[in-house]
Amino acid sequence: MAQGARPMPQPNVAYTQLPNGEAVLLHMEKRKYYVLNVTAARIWDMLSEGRTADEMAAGLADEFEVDAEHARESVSRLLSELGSGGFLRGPAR
Amino acid sequence: MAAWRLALCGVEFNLDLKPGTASQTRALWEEFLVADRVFDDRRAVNGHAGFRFVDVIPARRGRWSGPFQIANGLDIWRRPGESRLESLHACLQARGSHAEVCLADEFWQGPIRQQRQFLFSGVLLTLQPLGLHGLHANGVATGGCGVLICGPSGSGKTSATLSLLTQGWRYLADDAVAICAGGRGVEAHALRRSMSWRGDAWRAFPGLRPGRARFAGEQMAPPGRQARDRWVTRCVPRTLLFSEVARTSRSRLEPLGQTEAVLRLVKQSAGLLTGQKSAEEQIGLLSHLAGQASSYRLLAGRDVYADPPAFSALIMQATGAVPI
Repeated sequence: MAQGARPMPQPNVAYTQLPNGEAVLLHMEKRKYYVLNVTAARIWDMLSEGRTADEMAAGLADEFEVDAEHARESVSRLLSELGSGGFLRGPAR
Repeated sequence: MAAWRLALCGVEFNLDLKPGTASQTRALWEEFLVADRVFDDRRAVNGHAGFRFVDVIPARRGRWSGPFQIANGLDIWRRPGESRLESLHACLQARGSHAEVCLADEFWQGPIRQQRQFLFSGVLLTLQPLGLHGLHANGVATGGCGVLICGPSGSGKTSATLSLLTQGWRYLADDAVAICAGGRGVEAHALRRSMSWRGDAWRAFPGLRPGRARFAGEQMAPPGRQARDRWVTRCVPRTLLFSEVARTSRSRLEPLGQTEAVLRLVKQSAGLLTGQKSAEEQIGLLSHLAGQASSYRLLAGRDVYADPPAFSALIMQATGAVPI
C-alpha cells in the first residue's frame, strides 16, 4: 500500500470486539468473516479512525513496543489480506 | 379478525388472524413453535410483539438494503427501523417488533417446510428488536445446568438430545433457540418445540416415542408423553457442545477456546445475520455466551445409541452437574 494511503472499512462490514481483545469482522454481502487478533483489532480501530497506513504503523510501534519495520510489515500484511477479502474500500487520498 | 394472545420466549405475542386462515395459521404455529396458550402477564419480561394478518402489503418503495437471502426463495430487506421478509407468495413487513403479514392462497398450497421457514423467519425478525436472536442449536438441561448442542443438520444433535432425554435430562428445544441477555448471563429460550429426525432415530430409544405429528408425511413432532413433564422453557447455558458424528464406539469431548467457540456459533447463525447493526449485537451476544460457558467439540460415537448412560455421564462430567 502506498505511503499516505488512507484505506477505509467497507460500510457493510459488521465489527464486534470480543472480551479477550480479539474481534470478528463479518462482510454482510459476501457472508465472509475474518478474525482479528489483538494486534489486528487495534489496526482496525486505527483504520476506522481514518489514519494512514504510516500513521497506523507508527501507532502500532508505539503501543506494542515493536520496531518500526515490524510494525509496517504487520500493517501492510493485514491491509493486503483485508483488501483481498473485500473488507476495505480501497485507499482514499 | 381472530385474536390470539400467547407467550413466546418471554414475549407477549399478539396475533390478529384472518378468519379464513386462522385455524391453519394456529396449527402451523402450534406444531412448530413453543407457545404458552394461556398468557401470564408475569412472563412478558422480554417485551411485546405481534403479527397482523392483512390482505395486501404495498410493494417496496424508497431505499432498502438487501436482499439478504436466508433460504432459497426467501429474502430479507432492511432499512432503519423496518425489515421486510419476502417470498414468492408471502410478505411480512415489520416496524420494530410488530409486523403486517400477507399470505397469498398459494402460500397454503406450498410445502409445509416452506410455510414453516417463512413463519419462523418472520418470528425471528420481530424478536430481534427485543434483543432476542435465533441460534441453530438444541437445548437440554440438568441440575440447573443448561447445555446447547450446536451443529449443522446431520451432525447428531437430535440423537444426542434423545439419548440424554432417556437419562432424565430436561428438554428445551430442537434445532432452534432464542438467546438474549438476562440477569444471570445469556439465556436460551425454547423456540422450536417439535423435533425433526431422520430415518428411524426414535427407534434407537425405546423409552421415548414422538408425539403425534400434525402434518402427515413430515418427520417432525414434539417429544411424546414420556418427556413432556420434563420440558423447560429457558435455561442459562454453561456448556456448549459442537456436535460431529464420529465412527467410534465411545463419544469424546475436546475442549475449545473461546474465540473458536464464537466462530462456530457465528457459523451456526450465518443465515440469521441479516442486518449490520443486528449482526453486531448478535455476535456480541454470542461472544458473551461463549464467555460464560465451557465449549467442546463433541465427537459423537455409537454410545449415543448403544450406551446412553455412558454418554450421559460424559456430558454430565463436562457440565460439572450433579448426576441425576
